[in-house]
Amino acid sequence: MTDTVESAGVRRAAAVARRSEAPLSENLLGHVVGLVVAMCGVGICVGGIVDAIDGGPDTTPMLITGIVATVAGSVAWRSTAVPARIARLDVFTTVTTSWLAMALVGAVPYLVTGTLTNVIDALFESVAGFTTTGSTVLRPIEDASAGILFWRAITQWLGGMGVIVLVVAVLPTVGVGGMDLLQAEAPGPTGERLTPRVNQTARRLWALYLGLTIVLAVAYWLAGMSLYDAAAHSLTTVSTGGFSNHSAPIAYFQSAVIEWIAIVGMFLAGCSFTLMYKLIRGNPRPLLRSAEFRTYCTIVLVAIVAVFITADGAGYGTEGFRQATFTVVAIVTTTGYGLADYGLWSQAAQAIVLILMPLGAMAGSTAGGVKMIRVLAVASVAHRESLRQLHPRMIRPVRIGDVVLDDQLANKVLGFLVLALAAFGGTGLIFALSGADLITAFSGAATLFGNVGPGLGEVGPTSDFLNISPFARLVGIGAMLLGRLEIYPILLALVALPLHRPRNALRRIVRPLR
Amino acid sequence: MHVVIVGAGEVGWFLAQRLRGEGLDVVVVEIDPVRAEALAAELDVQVVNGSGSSPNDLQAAGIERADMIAAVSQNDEVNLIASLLAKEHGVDTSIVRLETEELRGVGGAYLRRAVGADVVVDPDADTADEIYELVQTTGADEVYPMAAGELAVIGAVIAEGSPVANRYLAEIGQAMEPNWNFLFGAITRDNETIVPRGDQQLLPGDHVRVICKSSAKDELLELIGVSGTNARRVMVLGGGAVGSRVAERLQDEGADVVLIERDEIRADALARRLKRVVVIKGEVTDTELLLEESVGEMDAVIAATGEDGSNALACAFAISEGAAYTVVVLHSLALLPLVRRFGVDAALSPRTASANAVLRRVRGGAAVNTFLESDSEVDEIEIVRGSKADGAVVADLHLPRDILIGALTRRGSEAQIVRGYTELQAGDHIVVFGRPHAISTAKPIFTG
Repeated sequence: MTDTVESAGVRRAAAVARRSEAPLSENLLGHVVGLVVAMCGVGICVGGIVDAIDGGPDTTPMLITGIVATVAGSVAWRSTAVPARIARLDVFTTVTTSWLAMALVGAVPYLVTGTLTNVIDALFESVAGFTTTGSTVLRPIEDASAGILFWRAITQWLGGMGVIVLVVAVLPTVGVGGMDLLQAEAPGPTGERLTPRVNQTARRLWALYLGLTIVLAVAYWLAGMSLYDAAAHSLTTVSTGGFSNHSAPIAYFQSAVIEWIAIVGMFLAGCSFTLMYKLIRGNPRPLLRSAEFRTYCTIVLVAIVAVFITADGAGYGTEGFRQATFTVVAIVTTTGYGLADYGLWSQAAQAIVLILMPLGAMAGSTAGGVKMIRVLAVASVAHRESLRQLHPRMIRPVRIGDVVLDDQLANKVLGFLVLALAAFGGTGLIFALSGADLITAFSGAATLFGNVGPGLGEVGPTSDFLNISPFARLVGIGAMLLGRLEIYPILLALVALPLHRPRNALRRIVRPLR
Repeated sequence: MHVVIVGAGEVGWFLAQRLRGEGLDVVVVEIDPVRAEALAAELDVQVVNGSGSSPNDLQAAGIERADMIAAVSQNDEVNLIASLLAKEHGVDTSIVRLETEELRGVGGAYLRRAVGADVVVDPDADTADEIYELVQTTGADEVYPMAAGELAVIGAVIAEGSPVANRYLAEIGQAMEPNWNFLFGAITRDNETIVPRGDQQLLPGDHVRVICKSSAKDELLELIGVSGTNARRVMVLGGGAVGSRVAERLQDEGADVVLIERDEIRADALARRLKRVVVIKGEVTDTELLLEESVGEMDAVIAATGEDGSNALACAFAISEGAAYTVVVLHSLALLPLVRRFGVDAALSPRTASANAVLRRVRGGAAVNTFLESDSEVDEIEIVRGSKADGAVVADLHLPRDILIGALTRRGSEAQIVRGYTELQAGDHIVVFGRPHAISTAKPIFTG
């Protein structure tokens, strides 16, 4: 942060000028939440239009919902302005509130069309969409209209790269602190700028995301999917979401080519988009030399071989290999498409799947979970602390490959893991208390927190989350949000809430500490 | 020959002394008035109190008459500017000391060309390279690669009970006929250096410098009675320019390196840079710490801090704990006799390392190595067509007794040890032992 006196002066002058032109109140929360709601509204409208083309029954309610959301959101958006200097506290409350608003708006179409009648179920489906978890409470999926299913896919696509990232991309200017906004939502500790300006960085990430989506949709279509299925599955593949229009997601199409396309698509979506952007700009070194990428590849390959050997599923031919590959990639990237019912595999293979669930792919990808980079950081810390037994006065930084991680960041990673473990254990415990068996409870907690989708046992790949109690589903909504936003923003928003009253004395104290 | 030296630091001072000894006109530009005065009082050289980057000060040093500039101050930028100014004044040869890795590498190529730097030296890097060679051949106290690595000059002390102790060189030679792998080039006994002939007897405790084929290094060390092993566990004391570089090279070779550095910020930076080195923050003279890091179990301990006293003390402690091999870096030679007494295996100084590079240029020869603690040196000389040595048999040259041709490399054949009957040819590179002035005097025999 190069805060020169001059630039501060220029900013202040600009802020003064803005204020004198248009008497917009500077309100980050209202501005961003408004824009997010408006985007969701547009998405719902798209769903409505798809339904109209299909001739389905839900066109009118969806279009009305969409238009209302768009208008309401736009009003909030246009009547506020981004503050010249974004306060740290505002970042976390804004991100958390945006996600809550999205969850609520996203649930409305399920209710108004009568697809789901229970508010908790509608919220669960909405959050499972935006957090790219892909766990579902629709039973059976085929009963829902084309418009609703397409909206489901859109929620995952919006949540994959991140709505806040999209907001930052759309905003013409983001003041100081814009990067915090981006980082608060981005999966994993990345925060590397591709360009000097934050909103251009966000734009490039979204452009790459959009490009990947289109390429994948065309590939699916050429491989034999209908245009509608190709678009919907492409949206849920690049976002590593895992919603499908069919109860048997990819298996429905009975095509090895489509399965391989999905494997490649999921794998790419699990790579850091920042590094992939550099790759397509002709600089493959950052990706190929990244220790995280190497670990990602290694873990995927080892897991495929291990599952292939132990699965006892579809035998040891190409079919078995494809199933092993598909399942491992789907779980590691937290997409959660089910190809084979791994609930029928050997206990060892199921154990591997369970271990892979909370792991996640690369930081800066659309995948959920803990992420490889954190695993590497913790491994480095563990190595250091064991070496320290031999050399008590040793100085040694935490490393990820050849890159040194500041101790501050490393501590944050450790803190995250502790919180993640607590969230995972707590969710599992509550599931168990609500009556689920042990495997269901803990695999359910892992899959929801890791934003994967299916778990094991009663929430396995061939069933859904209607098998756990409504209360457990409510808790599950929280687990998915905690997993997607990586705990800290939600936690900090809760801490920040009491500080948020206007002219609160505490706030004046906290601000200079930023 | 008129030489301008910029910077009267350790390197500049030593260089001034050596070049003056060669009979050159030397002017030293030094910015620190106290140091400038001290130098003027001690050496017969002209001293200009000023900056090497100042055109006026360089003019005062007679830069327009100079044939060579040695910009060896501790400031890279000053050295680069001095070189640029010197080239503007038509100076032939420019020697620039650069400590920044980047400037010495590919990234600095353009800059070096732009300022006309002919030779780039870095005392710390040169010292580190020497230490590295030593640790690769523990047992020796000096290792200088010659003739692009085909030959090496190895210094070591004859051990009690070694097969060559108490024997005459002629005897030892006879056992090797007809293919000699090495030749004793200089023997130091009681602080007196002798260039030996066949009638010389070797005594235990003699310090010998031997030219040998690189392939015969181990054989030679065994004969002298010191075991040459490759150090796997190494402790480096001091993470300065020398220490960090040695640690880095050893790490890249796969050795287990423990590095102790006093300064916290520096230790932190080293820990970030050196991935496989265990970096420890602490004093090198903290014996508790040295014991904690089991200094006695080390294959080699290298004391390379900036303070001679600390280096000597730490090494003494390491020896008392049983470290197998110790190397000490000394910036001044005052402590040399002392560290020899308590058994340090090798001592070296950053200033000789870089001075060698400069001397090489002055003499127009290839490799030159000046030995610490001795008034002899070893030169590599190319025989010029039409000179007296061209086509002559060595015995017929009637070289003075204080000069010895040790070995030669000839294009298209492998290096050989030179004997009395060896015939020399134009284009041969010969390795010569002797006192510096004797080599200078005898040089016309080879260069016409």
